[in-house]
Amino acid sequence: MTKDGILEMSRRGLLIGGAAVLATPMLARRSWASQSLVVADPGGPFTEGYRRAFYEPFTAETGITINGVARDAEPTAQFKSIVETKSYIWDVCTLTLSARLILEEEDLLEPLNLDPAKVADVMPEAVHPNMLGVDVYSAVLAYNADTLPEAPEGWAAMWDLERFPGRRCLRRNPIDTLEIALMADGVAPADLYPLDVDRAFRKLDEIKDHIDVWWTGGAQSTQLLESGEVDLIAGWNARFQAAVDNGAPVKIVWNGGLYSIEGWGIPKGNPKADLAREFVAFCAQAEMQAKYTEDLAYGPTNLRAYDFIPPERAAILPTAPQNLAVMSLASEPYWKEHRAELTERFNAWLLG
Amino acid sequence: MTAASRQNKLVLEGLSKRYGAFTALEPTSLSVDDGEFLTLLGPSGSGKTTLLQMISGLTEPSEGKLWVDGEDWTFRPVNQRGMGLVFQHYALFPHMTVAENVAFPLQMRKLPQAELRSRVDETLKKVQLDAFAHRFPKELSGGQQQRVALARCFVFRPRLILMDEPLGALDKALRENMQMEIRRLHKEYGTTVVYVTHDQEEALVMSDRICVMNHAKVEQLGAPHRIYADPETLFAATFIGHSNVLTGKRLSMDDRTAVIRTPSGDFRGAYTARDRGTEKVALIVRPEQMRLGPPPDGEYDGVTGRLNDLVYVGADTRLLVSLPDSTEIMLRHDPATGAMPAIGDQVAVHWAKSAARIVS
Amino acid sequence: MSSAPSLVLSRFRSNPLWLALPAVLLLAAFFLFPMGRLFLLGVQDPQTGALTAEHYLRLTEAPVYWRILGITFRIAILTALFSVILGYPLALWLSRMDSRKQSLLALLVLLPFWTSYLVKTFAWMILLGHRGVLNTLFVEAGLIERPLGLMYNELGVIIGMVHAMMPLAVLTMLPVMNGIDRRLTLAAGTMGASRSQRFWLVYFPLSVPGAAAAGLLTFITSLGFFIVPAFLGGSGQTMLAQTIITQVQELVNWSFAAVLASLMVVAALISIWIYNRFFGLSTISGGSSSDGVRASSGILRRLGRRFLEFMAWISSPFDRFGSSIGNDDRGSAIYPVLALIFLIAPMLVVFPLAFTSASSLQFPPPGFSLRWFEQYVNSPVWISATIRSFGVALATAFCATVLGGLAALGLARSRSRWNGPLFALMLAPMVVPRIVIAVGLFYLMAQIGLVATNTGLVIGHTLLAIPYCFITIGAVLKSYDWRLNQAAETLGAGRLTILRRITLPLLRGGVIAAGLFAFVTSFDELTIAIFISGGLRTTLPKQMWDDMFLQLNPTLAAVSVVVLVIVTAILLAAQKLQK
Repeated sequence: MTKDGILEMSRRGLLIGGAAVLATPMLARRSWASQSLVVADPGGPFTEGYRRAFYEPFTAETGITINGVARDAEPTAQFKSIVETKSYIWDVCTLTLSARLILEEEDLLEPLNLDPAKVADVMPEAVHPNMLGVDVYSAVLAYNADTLPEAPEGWAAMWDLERFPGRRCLRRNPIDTLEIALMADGVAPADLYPLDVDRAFRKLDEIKDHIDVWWTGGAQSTQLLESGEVDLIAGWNARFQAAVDNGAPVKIVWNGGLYSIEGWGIPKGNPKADLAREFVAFCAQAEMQAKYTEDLAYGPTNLRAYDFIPPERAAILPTAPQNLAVMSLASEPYWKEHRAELTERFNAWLLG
Repeated sequence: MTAASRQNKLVLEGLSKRYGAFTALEPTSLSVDDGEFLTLLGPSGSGKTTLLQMISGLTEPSEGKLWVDGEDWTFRPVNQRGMGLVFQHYALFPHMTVAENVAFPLQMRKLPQAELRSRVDETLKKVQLDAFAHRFPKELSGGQQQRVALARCFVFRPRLILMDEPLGALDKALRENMQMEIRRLHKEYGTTVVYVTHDQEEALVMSDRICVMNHAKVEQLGAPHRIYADPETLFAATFIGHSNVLTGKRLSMDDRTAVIRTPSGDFRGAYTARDRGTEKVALIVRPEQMRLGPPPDGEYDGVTGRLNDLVYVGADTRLLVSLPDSTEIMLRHDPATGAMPAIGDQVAVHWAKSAARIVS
Repeated sequence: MSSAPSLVLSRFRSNPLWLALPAVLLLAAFFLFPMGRLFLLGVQDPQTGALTAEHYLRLTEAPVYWRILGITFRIAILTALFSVILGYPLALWLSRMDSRKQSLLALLVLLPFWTSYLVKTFAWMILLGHRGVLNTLFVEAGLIERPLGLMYNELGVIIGMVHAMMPLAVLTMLPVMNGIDRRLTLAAGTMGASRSQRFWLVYFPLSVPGAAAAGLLTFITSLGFFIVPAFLGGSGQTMLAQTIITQVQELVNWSFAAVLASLMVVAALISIWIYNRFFGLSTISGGSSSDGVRASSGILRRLGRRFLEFMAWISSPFDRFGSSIGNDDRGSAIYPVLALIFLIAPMLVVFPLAFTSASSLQFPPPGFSLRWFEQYVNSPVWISATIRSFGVALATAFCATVLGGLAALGLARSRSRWNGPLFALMLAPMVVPRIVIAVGLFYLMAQIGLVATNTGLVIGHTLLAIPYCFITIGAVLKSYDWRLNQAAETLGAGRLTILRRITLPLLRGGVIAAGLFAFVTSFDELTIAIFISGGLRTTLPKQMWDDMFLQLNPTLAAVSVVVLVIVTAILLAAQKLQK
């Protein structure tokens, strides 16, 4: 997928979006009043954001109660067990694009049968037969504006020890890290996939000894940047926004960012699948998605949502047009195929 | 204390131990001769173990001095005293074999291997444990363990051996056996021994001198027969051997004798009381000194009472007589010497004034 | 009584091993069965189900897993070594106190044990960071010019892991040291042994079984660590448990996860086998040290002796610093106090953070505020998690103590050839890394509808707690005088009466300790909770974990403080009960 392609699509999305607003009435069938759904979200601030954006409005509209529960960072194992043992403790669960691919391959996802009209405004990358993306997160470069002498403009800064002295931090995971290395080596975002893995590792070799910390947990990356432990770090935008919100002198570089999408999926064979589908479709609306951006620094997949978001807030969201334009989508199919092998190689490289 | 007396093996000068307000041992002075077997005898809590521990160096005295061979050893570290200590609980090292246990004190003295081995073998033979040299302590019986403990002590020829109720955990037959064993070893090595026990019979059998202790102080110190014959206190009299006790007030006294007034009458006896100031005294007469019948002449005193019980013990018969004030006395009666009274009879009992002792 | 029940009763009488039956059944159903199924995955083709060696062959193709195994061993061995070496003097110091003082100070040792190790790990990050508390202190004191690399390397991992494992080491060594007859060193003193000889030739050999048991337990537990190396380690510190989690959670390759898990179990079994060769397994639960000494003859024994003599010689110059009197109990308290400070250091960070006015984990806090406690109290999520954690932990403590205690009782009374295998089974849940148990258990519980139920959580936690209860009660049973039972029997007491009136009151200390162990095991348990709670039945550690991944804020510290206060109160109450 090319950079232009994304722009093209999002522009088109915006255009079509206007018409789709008419499709919102959805369901007003009060016969569901006594029903309930268990929805697994990532927990933490999501619980609050999603509750206001999705759960409460949905209950208000349909009478169906939503129980939000926190799921694991990587719920695939649980998801697999839920389906295989037919114990549907979750009716709907947030998935990443990579989880979707794994689950799809094992046929663990229920089809969503989304009405194309209702998702017309949604970024096409977020719409799948068995998953609807509702938020966009992005792997970006962040830095401590107090300690760095000048503002970095892209991934090359991570490698430029002279111009950007300071402690550096990368994620302890090949995903994103390999792409970052290639982009720093001059590969255009459009030409990233399939990854030139050898080139990526050669590039990583250059700074391996200068990476002071390899982070593992998202909250850890916030802490590292906020406490001044590191000066340059690659990680997810929302985590760095949390540091900004806490008053840390942190700035985010959108240029070269790799974004990905999270959204709803339904465990295969769920007896409440119909209700669950209603809920998922409900979450496609621009107005609803705009609401969670008050709490969460994630980008709505329905780009019409920006009609409801103040510009200063939009500036920190991945799918704001100016940010989205300089980023590219991480390729989940590529990672689906190569993740095991590259994880192994990355671990070996780390230890070597 | 004179310089001469310091030539004794061990001299204690006003040694005492206090734990806060609690006194474990009142200031105590005594001396032990070279090669002597001295027993500290007393009930538990009498201070005998505290005294032993201060001699050994395991406890520091609160006051006083300790002299060994004329040197001040009061604060000498325990491992530089070279005393042998035998514990009631044996204190054998469970992770070492019998031979290793016995060799331990020799290793501490850095004896050459060859000599060490021969000394260990020799000592183990002496206690008849040479066949058990490579066993672990837990594989031995109680008596055998105690013999290991003795061997471990005698093997390094200490100048002074301290034993803290070493036979307390053994049964009677084994205990008597071991008493003989300890006596034999003591004689053979000519060591000075300070021995702690609460068993008066054991003390009488083994000791050159006995130090009777009670309530954190020494009651009486002397040869076994002296303590038995001339007790100085009521405690010494009753703790060692059986005594008939008539308590009362001292009426009069001279250098050697005194007169005591008891509910059963006034009696004269040798005045052996240690504390000559007190008026509260007791008349002590050993059972074997009492005879049935009224006193034959002025050299004898006597009482009458009711015969309560007859106990046949083989060599003689013991008569239990209760006096009008319900004091009980016991006497031995050889049936060959006269008619046996019946239970319930009023009987007269007499004793020689010279056999009576008046103690504090 | 009719004949049938009396027959059953008489069989109970004839073989006390029946007492272990409830624990065995539970372990068979919820441990052995799911484990067996999981390991079957490692030798099966995921599609066809046919037997295959392909997953194991992958090990030979990718040397990285052997390197990770090597690193895991290295870190676990170092952790065990330092936990024992640093914990030994502390345990020694504690063992010399009277029991009242000892149990009070043992509380301080336990405190870090009661702190969720998520929180502990974060506290260490604050302490050890480049701009952390320690480096700031050192630089300002002029001790160093540039901050030291205290974490994101092996040192950080070892610090975090030793901190987590030292309480376990101390608590394992303490009963053995308490059981050593102090008079033995006195006796050695009277025979001319110096301070260092008394220690190295007499006391130390007697304490070795305790130290070895502590080493084994900490080693095995360390094998399964994943949070500490992930957060405090650098590029070179990857442990096997981390790769297992990656395989299960990220790559969904359960077959290979099963292979890696079996690798870990084999490693643990080998170390147990080695330990058994030298000390005998039963010493793990042994208070009696002399039983633990194997009469190993010949070269090894002599070598050991030479080593101890050498150590005594080395340390003899320091003799004069100690007291001259036989008992070594006047030694300096400087080291033990430092060790205690090390143990409670993370709490010293967490406490101020709980009262911070900032909304980040800034240290030192810029101001005082109770807002994080307010947030905790007003959050139904946190409160319900707290209540659930307490409920589950109490139920776990009860179940694990009863099952583990009965099993210990049965094994202590039996001389059957089944003792060995049963003993191994009782300890097995401790040996298998929790992540492996959690995965297997989740699969099983999902099928029988126990996922997201409190019952499921209690069963899972009971599995984990049984080994601790078994060991603790087994240890007190070792010193239990069985003639008392005969005495009671001759006085007319029945079996149950004896248990109720004689055995239990005498074992009370051990039983309460076992209950506390089980309680804390459940209370701080995360891995099983992640899988079994299903997000619906969130326990406190699970809630902390969620928070930690998504939003680090001082609520976490406030919760820790609340938990610590409540738990300390429970501990103190338990101590009152123990008397």
